[in-house]
Amino acid sequence: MEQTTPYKLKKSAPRDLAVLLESIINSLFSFLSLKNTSQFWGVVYDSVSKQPLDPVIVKLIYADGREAETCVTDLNGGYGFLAHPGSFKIFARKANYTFPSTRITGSSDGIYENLYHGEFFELTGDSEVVAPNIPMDPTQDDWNQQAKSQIYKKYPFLKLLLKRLVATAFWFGFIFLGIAIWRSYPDIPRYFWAIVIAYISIILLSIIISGPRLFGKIISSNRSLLTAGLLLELHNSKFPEITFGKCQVREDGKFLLRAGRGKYLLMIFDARKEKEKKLLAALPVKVGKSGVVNSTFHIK
Amino acid sequence: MGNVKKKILVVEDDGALLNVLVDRLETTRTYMVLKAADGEEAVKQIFENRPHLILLDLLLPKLDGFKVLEKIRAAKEEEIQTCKVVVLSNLWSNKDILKAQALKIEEYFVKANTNLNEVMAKVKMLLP
Repeated sequence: MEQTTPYKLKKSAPRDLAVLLESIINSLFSFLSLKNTSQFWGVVYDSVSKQPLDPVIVKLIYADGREAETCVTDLNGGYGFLAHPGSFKIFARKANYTFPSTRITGSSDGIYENLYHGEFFELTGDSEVVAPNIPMDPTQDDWNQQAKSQIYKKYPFLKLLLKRLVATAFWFGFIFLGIAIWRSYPDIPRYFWAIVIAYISIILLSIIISGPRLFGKIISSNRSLLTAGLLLELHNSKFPEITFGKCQVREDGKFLLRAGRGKYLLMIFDARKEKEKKLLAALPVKVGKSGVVNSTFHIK
Repeated sequence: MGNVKKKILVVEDDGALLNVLVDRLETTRTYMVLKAADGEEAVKQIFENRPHLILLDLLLPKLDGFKVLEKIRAAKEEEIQTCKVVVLSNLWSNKDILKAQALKIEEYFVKANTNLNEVMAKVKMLLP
């Protein structure tokens, strides 16, 4: 591959530090089940077995019926769209399943929350990652799902259920603490207050700290280089010929590039001229638990 | 006499995705598109119709994609043995990719991280 690097790229150090801090705090909250860090993306799942579905064709559709984006769910049923402000609806399609679900019609089913049933929704903020959970109803046995259940013994929904139980225990503990304080009043032991402070700190931090960013960004300080339309490809050093992910950078420099956990090489191409694909840079990136390249890269 | 269309076999067990892929390929009016929903049917089609290119899923009923690939590479007929294969699967572990690569594939696309346009571009590149 031609190695031309007219632009120097470097990762944004302050942003990486913030990402690292966020990651540590999110891991703590995940452990306490105050934040569901195992499910950053929307999941398309079987409304009966709760098993994630793949491959499901998921379409983001404008209010006028035009197709905005299409993707296919991963092995964990995960998907997501980086959308502009506007009115949209989502459509999901898989053989042997129907959408929207008529079995589950509420916003939660006890395992998954933020459920989607085919209604139009408005996006007001810029660059929102759209990823509600989507239940689909089985119409007949699906070979793929049965095979997967034999291959992958560990279902994500069991993990989700465990998290719910831990979260319930956390809140029950909080209630019992309140009762214990009330019963021991006015001789409240000091360590009770330490526990109260710890509880309140954790709750406040879980509210203040948001989840990981689900998109990456390219910023150019070179006015002659517009980032919109730059082509990004994700490769693995072991398999340089395989593209693990591919996307185009938007007008605002943001991009959505998903991949499994691991180390990759992010190749940045200028492919905006027809029949010309010029490699601008290649740099190592690490994809963590969030399953997305979410760093900011500066082009000089 | 017009040009004979090159044959592409699409092997995918999910009917919805299979139809999308077949529709996209047929829209080009460049190829004769064949389809198979399981590994056994795929092998049958390969030996009967001898496609120029195969879009192959790996997790398949009856016979998995790896076994299909092994049968292709072990075929006595050179036309079949050297057939171009593009894998389109959601399996993305190094182990799976290495295994597929050892069976001489042209490209390995991870479904969830791939735009269908890229698949079409690859097909066009391999079968101009």
